[in-house]
Amino acid sequence: MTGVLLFFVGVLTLAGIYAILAMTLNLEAGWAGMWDLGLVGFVAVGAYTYTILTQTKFDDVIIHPQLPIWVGMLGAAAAAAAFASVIGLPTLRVRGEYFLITTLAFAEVVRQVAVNTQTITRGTIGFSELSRPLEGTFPGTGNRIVLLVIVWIGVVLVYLLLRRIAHSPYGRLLRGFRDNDPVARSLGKATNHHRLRTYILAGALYGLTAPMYLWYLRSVTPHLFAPDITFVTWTALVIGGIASKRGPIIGAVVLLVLTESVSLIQGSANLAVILASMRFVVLGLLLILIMRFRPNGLTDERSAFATVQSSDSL
Amino acid sequence: MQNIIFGLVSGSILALAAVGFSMIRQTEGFINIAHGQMLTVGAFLGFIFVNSLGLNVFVAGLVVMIAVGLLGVVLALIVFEPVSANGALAQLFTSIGLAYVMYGLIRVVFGAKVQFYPNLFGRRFDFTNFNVTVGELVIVGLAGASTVGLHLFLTRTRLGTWIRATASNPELARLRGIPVRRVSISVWFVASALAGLAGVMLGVIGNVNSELGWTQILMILAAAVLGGLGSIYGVLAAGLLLGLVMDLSAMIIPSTWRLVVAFVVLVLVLVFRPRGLFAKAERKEAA
Amino acid sequence: MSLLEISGVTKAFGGLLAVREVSMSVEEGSIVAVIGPNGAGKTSLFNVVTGFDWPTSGTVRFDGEDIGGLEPWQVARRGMVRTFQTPVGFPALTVWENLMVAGTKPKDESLLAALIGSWKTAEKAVKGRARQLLEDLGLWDSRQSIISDLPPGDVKLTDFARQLMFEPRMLLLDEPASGVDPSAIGRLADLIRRVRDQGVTVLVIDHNIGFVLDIADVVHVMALGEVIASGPPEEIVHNENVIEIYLGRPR
Repeated sequence: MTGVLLFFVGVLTLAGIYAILAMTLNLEAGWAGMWDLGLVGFVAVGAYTYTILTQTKFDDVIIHPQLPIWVGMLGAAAAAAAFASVIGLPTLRVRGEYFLITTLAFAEVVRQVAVNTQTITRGTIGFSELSRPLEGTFPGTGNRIVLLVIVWIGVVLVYLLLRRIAHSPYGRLLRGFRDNDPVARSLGKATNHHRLRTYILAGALYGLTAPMYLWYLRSVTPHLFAPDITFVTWTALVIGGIASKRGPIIGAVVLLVLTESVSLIQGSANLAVILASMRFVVLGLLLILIMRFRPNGLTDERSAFATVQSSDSL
Repeated sequence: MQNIIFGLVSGSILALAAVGFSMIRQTEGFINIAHGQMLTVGAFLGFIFVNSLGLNVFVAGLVVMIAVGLLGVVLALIVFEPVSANGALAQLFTSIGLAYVMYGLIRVVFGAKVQFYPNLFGRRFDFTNFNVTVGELVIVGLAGASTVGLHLFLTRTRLGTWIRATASNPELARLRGIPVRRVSISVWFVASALAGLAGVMLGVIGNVNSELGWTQILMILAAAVLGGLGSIYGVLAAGLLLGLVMDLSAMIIPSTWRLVVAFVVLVLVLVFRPRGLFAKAERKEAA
Repeated sequence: MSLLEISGVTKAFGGLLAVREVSMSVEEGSIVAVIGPNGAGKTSLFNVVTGFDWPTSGTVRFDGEDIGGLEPWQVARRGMVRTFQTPVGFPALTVWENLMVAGTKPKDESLLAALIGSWKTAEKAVKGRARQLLEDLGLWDSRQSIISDLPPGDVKLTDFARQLMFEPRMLLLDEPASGVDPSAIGRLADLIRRVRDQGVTVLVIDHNIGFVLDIADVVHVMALGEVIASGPPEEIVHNENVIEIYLGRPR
């Protein structure tokens, strides 16, 4: 397998992971109107839960049941969902910018907790040498392709799930009260309950994505869960088009390919360091340009729902 | 007692950074995540002026303020102004993009190594159970002087009055004929200059590194929200308060939990007072 | 017993009394109007009655039940629906979808229902009603238009239709005639009367005295937070206090 091909396998795997994150963000922000700047917190909760439940290499932590992968995944989703329900109550009471900042704050708290509880999380050192699914059956580079397939199966499944939600009365209601909460309440809709449930579902999905991210990286440290993941996901969503259906996937692929391709430029070791920093510049420039010239992204809500809306009333 | 000193110092620096952030939020209408990067630029520029050019640190500080102030204005004109038509959320995301661009460029230009200002203010005053370095005194003093200066500027000058008017009601200010553009440019200059100064102070007290922008913006956000996004003086108080709380808490819990303390305080306050501690009564949101 | 019983309701904002010891009752099947100049407290009263605000003191009883502390959606589920002064509705959805949202029962729009698809059976019945309503109001042809694309007249009509889809026992209309073409006001009045004839009780607040006097069975006049006159339209028109409020001090 040539190096470049393998490189793109990696890029597309990462793109798939971000596609799921972006689709989930689309659910809570694009459809339900909750502008969440703290999604990395849920990923962190899921990541550490999964690792703590399944890792087998380290015994200097107080919890290491060494459970199978699928238990770890369920645990990750459940823990993230539980976290969402706990912080959802105070967080959803505040609106607008205060909500943005509160979500950001909670995510940072999670990261700090990960840094400071060495007995459970191994602090800043974290865990390494994490195993991937089907490693025994497909060793070496074949394993990376297996991971790519697993991730993109996940993308398809999440897409279908969210599309089902989008076409249901629940999805319709979300897009309604997102724009006009008082009218929804005047029609007997308990909008706060719906927001909380959506928030918890999103939390669960973010938590479920975490193990995939860890299989890709093979390690977990608190440093991973700085706001970067949140901002990259937002950029992917914004590029693809907020509130559309396929937008998040398109945006994730476009964004990841563009930013990761910077590393393809060969050169000296010094250049490599500069290129690593340039990835941030590319990310930032993309965000600035999209906001300036195509704030609706590459696809948009209207076109995404047009077919549903026109066939609905026949 | 020592912790109170630390708290005052970090609180003063935070207050300076947060007040500029709050001014931008009020007159321009959006949350500027890139504000944190202004501190980093200030810290690095000051470092270069003092270390490589041998400038006196006070002179360097002044030069940094002017330089970062101008940078703020330039960035506002070429990056933020064109997007203002697309709404506050678009400007927020633009500021995130700008923060990343600045962060990347800072790393390229200044490197990822941690740098230190030379020990300029080593003189210490030792008391029975605490000590104070001259550096700490200078910072608190400068911060206090800046606050007074800002207050005088906002209340005694025509431009300052215009700024306050625009901050409390932008539409009305425009209708009354206040030159919105001039106010805007002035706010960007003052806010960025203060951020640059705060950056230099951070460097003098601690160290200079490329990650400063991100750690600082989180605390700035906390201080701004705590003080009430609509209140300039509330934010100053909140910054100071937050610094004190963070450093005082180090007496009971390990100091690595500083940031968590700050955010727990923030969340608790928001639960009971969703508009911040000192927020003025804001107009009700339309249905 | 009246359907809606407002007793001694006071609403204070800080030191300001927006609503002062207001009492009124609305009989089932009637059209009751509340009029008064700006700042009279009409909208504040509305907000308190529908749960969008809570009374500083006094009680509000709907069908015998005290609803003072309830959330707006709880009040709505007991059968009281209101409109808003600026009828924006759900701007990203079509006219059709606006009505469908209103007509869908809570159990069919839950997340669980979305996942297992149990909403599809009930949806058919709702579609039938939506179609009927849209045809009655002449909106059938614009049913697939997104609200933000519609002319303001149609937006108002959709607003009305949507709140009716909920099949409320009582409809509270907040300034329904504002912004409506004078030529169309007659039709609006007919619409409201038709709704009443179908068994819906109506409470209206509006500025337009002519419109109100035309449709109402009972009129309450508010000024500075108090009710200063109540009675059938014929009486109100000749009431001296009312004339003074609207035309200034009599010479």
